[in-house]
Amino acid sequence: MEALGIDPNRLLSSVFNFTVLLILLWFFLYKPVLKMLEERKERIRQGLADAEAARQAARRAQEDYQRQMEQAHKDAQAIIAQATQAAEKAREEILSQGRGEARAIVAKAQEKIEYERKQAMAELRGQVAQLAILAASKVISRELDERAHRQLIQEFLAETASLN
Amino acid sequence: MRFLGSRALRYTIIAIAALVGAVALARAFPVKLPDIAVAPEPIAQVSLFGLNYSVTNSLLTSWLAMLLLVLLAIATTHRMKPVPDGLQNLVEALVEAIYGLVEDVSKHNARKFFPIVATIFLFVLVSNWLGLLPFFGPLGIWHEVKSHSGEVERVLIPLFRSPSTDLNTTVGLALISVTMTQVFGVQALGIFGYFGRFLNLRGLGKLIGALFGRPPRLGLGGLFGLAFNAFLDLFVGLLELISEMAKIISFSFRLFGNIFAGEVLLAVIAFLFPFLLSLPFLGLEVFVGFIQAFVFAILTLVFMAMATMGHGAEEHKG
Repeated sequence: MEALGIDPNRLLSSVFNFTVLLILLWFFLYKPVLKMLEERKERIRQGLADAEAARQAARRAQEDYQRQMEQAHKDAQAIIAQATQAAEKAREEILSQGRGEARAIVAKAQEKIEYERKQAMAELRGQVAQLAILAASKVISRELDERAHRQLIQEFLAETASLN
Repeated sequence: MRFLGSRALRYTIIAIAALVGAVALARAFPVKLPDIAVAPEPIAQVSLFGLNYSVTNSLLTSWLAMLLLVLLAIATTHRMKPVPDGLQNLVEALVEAIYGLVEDVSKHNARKFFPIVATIFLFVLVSNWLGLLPFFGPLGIWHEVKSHSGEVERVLIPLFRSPSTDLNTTVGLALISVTMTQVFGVQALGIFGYFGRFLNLRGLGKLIGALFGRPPRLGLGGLFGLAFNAFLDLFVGLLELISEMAKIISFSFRLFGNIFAGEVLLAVIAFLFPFLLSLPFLGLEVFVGFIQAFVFAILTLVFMAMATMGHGAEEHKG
């Protein structure tokens, strides 16, 4: 032991020194560094979690936006369809009304035309009869009295009326 | 080819010139082989509380190593930044690497083992590397010593000496390592659980149970087998005890031997080829210094982990 230089006091001092060094390093090195590493790990974990949350939120917002856009699009489509339908209906109505009125006008006009024609015909018939009577009386005034004449003409007119 | 040839030629000329220069320098400045002493040399006597205490050069260097480490620690951690840079980065990486290693070996005892393992590693590493500094050999105090033949010789006592080349340091570290291993073992397994490893009476208990127990009694062969097992258990316990003692010696002499031999090697090489040629050996010793620090720390770690694990496999068999 002597030759190797081993000395109990010196041995004790090296153990003591080591213990002192361990305590000093514990307070000045290991504890702060490990704490810092732990804190940093925690911070990174937190940061990653936050980033993940933000990504989720962004995706949800995107989805919301998408959904709203789709809804708006659908609504717009519905409104356009409704408007188109209403316009179509209005057009139909207007058209049918116009058609009806036109028909009524035409019918009225026809009626009037018929009436006037009948009137004219009646007037004409009266005048023709008179003329005929006049003419006939002048031609055959000697053979027939007036009553027989009138009768003859009435018959004639009835024939013509039935022709009409 | 011409270019290559000329370059090879140039290198050859440089190498030869360097060799010639080194030899010439060695002729001009011959290096003496230093006195090689296994024991550290005292450089001062200190009286403390009435106790005479001799301060050896290795003790002084121990303090230097401690001072360096503590200064490095304070310089790093007195104002730590969440985003590390420079020194803090380096030290954090080092601490994290050691902690990761401890965690790999023993996950839930990492906090307990880490300070001892890390301190052993850092202290031994700094000690080993300090010994390689150029002023460690030559800087010293001349003493006049009487040699065996009675002549007065002048001997240079170096002021510094790597603590790893002092058995007091290495035995001290080994004692701490082995003692803390026992402490952690007892903490983990309880006094009987841990020391049962060294005095294993389970086999003896079975033998006594069979001898005095109720039937079914065993035949003579069975009893003989039990007795043999009891003897084997005791013998294995004895071996465990011896291996625990041997750890102290292997720890301390491994570190001492490697570093001391390394320094002797460097001294001899410096004596033979003082210039240039000792460089590769210096590099080798830097590597050896690291490896020895690593080995000391990792063996401490492994022994601690083994001591806290108990021997579950044996219990399953029994």
